[in-house]
Amino acid sequence: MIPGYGGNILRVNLTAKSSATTPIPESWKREYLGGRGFIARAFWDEIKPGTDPLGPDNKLLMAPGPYTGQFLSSSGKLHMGALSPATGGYGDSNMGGHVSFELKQAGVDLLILEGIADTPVTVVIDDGKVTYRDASPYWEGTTFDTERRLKEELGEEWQIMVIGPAAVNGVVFACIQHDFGRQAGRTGVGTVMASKKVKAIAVRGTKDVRLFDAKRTLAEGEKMMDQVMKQPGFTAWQPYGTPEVVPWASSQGVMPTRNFQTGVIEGFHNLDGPTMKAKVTEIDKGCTSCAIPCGKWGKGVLNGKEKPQEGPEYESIALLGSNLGITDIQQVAYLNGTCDELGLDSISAGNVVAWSMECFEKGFLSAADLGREMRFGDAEAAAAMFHDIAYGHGFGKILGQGVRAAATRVGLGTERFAMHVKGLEISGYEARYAPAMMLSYMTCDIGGNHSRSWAVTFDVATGRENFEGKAERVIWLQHVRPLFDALGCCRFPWVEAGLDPESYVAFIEPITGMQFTWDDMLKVSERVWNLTRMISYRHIPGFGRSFDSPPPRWVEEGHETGPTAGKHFTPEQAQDLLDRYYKLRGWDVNGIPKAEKLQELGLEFCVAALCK
Amino acid sequence: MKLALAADRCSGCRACELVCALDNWSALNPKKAALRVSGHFPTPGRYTVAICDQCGTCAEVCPTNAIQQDERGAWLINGEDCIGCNICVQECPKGVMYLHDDNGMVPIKCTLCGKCLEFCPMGALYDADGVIPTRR
Amino acid sequence: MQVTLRLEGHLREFFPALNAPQTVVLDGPKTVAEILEAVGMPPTLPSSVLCGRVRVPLDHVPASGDELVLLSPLAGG
Repeated sequence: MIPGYGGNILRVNLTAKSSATTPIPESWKREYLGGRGFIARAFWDEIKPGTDPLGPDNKLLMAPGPYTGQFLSSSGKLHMGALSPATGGYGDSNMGGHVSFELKQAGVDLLILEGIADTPVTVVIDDGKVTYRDASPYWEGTTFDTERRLKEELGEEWQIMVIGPAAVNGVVFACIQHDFGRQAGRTGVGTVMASKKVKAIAVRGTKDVRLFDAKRTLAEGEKMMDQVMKQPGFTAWQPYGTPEVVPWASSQGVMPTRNFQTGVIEGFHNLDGPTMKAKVTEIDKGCTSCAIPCGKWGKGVLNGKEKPQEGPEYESIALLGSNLGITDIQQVAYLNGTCDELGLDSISAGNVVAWSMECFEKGFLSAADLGREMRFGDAEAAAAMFHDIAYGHGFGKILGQGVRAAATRVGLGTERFAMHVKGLEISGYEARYAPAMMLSYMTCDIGGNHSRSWAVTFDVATGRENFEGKAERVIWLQHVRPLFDALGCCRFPWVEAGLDPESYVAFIEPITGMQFTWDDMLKVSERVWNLTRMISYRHIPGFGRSFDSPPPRWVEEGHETGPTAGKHFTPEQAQDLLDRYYKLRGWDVNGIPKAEKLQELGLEFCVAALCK
Repeated sequence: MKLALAADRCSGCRACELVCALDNWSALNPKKAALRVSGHFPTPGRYTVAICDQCGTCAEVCPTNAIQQDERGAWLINGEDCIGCNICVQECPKGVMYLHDDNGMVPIKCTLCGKCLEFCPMGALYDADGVIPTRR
Repeated sequence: MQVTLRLEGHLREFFPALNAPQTVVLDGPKTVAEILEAVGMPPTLPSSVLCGRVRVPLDHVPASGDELVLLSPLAGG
């Protein structure tokens, strides 16, 4: 058996309150590595077309990877997947903290939650043994209260994942939270967990994770930890974390501002890393084995009210700050803490509330419609609306279905500034005049997210008007970045601290005994990319090019201000980017993988679905 | 070398637990580490770390003199003399002696190998004698 | 006078000439922005410029022998 893994698939059936443990297929380790790779493969096998995302046949999948828990920086990542209630297609999300390694130590490489419990439960996984606790007394509790309660009941060393009121009340962008501030934010994985009546998952694992060559694994780990701590990013970036990019983003005109109306926010200095460190941050908070902990724990403040929270990260600063017209870092931290305790994805929540603010300011919706005046810059209004969303009050109930659904329902042309792709709210980069980044958002498999391909620097370095090499770049990034999601570790030592990404190859052999070159690993990523494309194709009627289109705002309007003021591409140019991308990917003109490409990647089992 | 703690610098990453178990046990298993990181959230919002300061209480209470001090000042358990009474585990003032099935009846105890403080990225664990440099 | 430029992170892909630290000879004191323009890099491209491990603004004038470390911007999370 290939070492370096937990060993098993743990299937938990909530309807029957039964569980089954089977070995993870050895071939999956070679073909998919783990994490996002296992998620994609299991998704194809387990979740059939026609499944209701909130029904018993949807499965919530979770998977660590071979690098999870290793003494390398940084190894605490867990990947999750499910059919998304927001998009109706492939949904996934990635989360840090410590629970991924705990699952692995409990013997789990893939956790499958299926069915629906008859009453709210906490699923307890103790070294692979599964029991259920009645969660009815705290079903409506906040995420922090629930995690705190379970740690007191079970023990501080247990690792806990929880959902909050937002998930319980059916918000389609509800997240799963862990370790008081880490989230699996996107695509509504929290919503799916709630639909199964699972309030929390508590994990304890005490087993060794067997290694192919423990001494060499340790030697490689010491080398990498040492290298990371010698990068200039170690002392320059680590104290501030992801907010470090705020000044750059605003000066480049890519910081989403007032519902993506522009890319520059006046007063962005009040949102930057040093300001946050001075006004909010109390301690650093890190995931498993991380030498560059990006987590920043501290208190947000809004009009004298305090809220402890981890962050805010750049994405939260963008979507809860500049995108809402707010430039006070303490208020942004307060809003971040609000989203966290309610269990709302801060990206989607900030995006949809910004849309409601634009609707109000332009007269499409009134204060009576919305429950209050919703103006850019008003953090109290934003906080109140987050509560309305999480508890399904008033207009919050409509916003809780996502910006695509809300704009479709309201109509009146508000769809033109509903900032989503495929029904997933766009994250923190204003990309209308950055072709590679715009293409990244258009083709990201889960919808409007930046995590698969972050290409903004490429656009700035090689010219925003230039389309040459952009599709190539996006494809390369879509293979390199999600590779980390399959390995089960974090890409920040590469992206933020400047470590050579190919140095990660050195670990696969001492950990597992498997031989992989860098190109072999990227091939796994390409396989997974085509598989997730086919998953969405199977689930979403009419899926294809039209789902890869940019939001109307990006091809109709230029920024009011900033270095790219007035500029944008045409819809035809956006389609030209897609043409180049599809051709390079070996997909047809509608953006569907061709049979030859699927066969080349060992995805023969997907070919029959092309004839649907 | 003297293992010391500046707890306010701890980020809770547990790299120390990982390298301790890997180096001393060739095991990827922080449950076999000889120190423990604990989070305290949401209040007060801090980490604490239980470390061995080689106080020697375990040796004092050991009925078979199985715990002896070496030339570096580290108290080490001689497994052959250990009878598994666990009095040392109960009496340890820091609670940093641990049992694990894979080690049978002999408790796991810090051997002052220094790996944790060599690799702590935050300088939360450091050498109070200044022999091994702090990373931060 | 001369300064050394060191480029860290993924920006190195776009500026292969700066993959290893480069000494740049100047005909007099220049601002960081002017030095970057001289090597063909848009001055706003790096997320930060460090001189002596301290962040410096684009109008900073380094002394001869200084090393400027250019940090690549990152993706937020």
